[in-house]
Amino acid sequence: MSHRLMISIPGLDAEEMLLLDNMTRDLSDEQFRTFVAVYSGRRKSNDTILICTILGFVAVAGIQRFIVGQIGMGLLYLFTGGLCLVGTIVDLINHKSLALEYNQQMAAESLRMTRGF
Amino acid sequence: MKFISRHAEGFAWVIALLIPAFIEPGGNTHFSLCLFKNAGIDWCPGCGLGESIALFYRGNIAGSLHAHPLGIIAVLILLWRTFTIFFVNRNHLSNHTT
Repeated sequence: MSHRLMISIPGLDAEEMLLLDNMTRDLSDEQFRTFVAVYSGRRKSNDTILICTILGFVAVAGIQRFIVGQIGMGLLYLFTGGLCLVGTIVDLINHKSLALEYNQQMAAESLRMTRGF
Repeated sequence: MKFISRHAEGFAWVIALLIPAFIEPGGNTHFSLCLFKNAGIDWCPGCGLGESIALFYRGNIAGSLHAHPLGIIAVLILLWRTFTIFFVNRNHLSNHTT
């Protein structure tokens, strides 16, 4: 089953794939295509989070938090220089986890929407 | 062990929230966790956060706001984020039927 995941979502992360496999196992091929269409547009890749985090070292901090929907944290980072760079460093180490957490949410939502049809 | 790596960010914030409890607010400790300062940049928008939080923990609200206007808000937001990390179930491994 993970095969169709691998060929449908470029840049799929291994942990992400494990998660999605469990969630989409019972979907028909057509439902699966719907799921992929919805989910692909919402997921954030690890690299995106990473680059936004690195921006916090040279320009503006917190963008990575905004794009995963954590507005409060994003604003905090924005106005404190990434919590004096400490937050930016935490996010640098932790960026995959941030992406995975967000993608989990998006997958659950996408699944709900798919089943809703 | 897996629990720690999955919730690493949570532990980072717990530590970050605990440190100001042990630092004596006085402003003279030029031991700064601020990386901008250590890199030579004189002022960063986060300057005074540690001091601010330390004062807040000791009940000095006015002092806290003076050291950094967002100190208290930072504590609240980080507490919320930590709570979310440890206690909000993000395990969507089961098939949803809702």
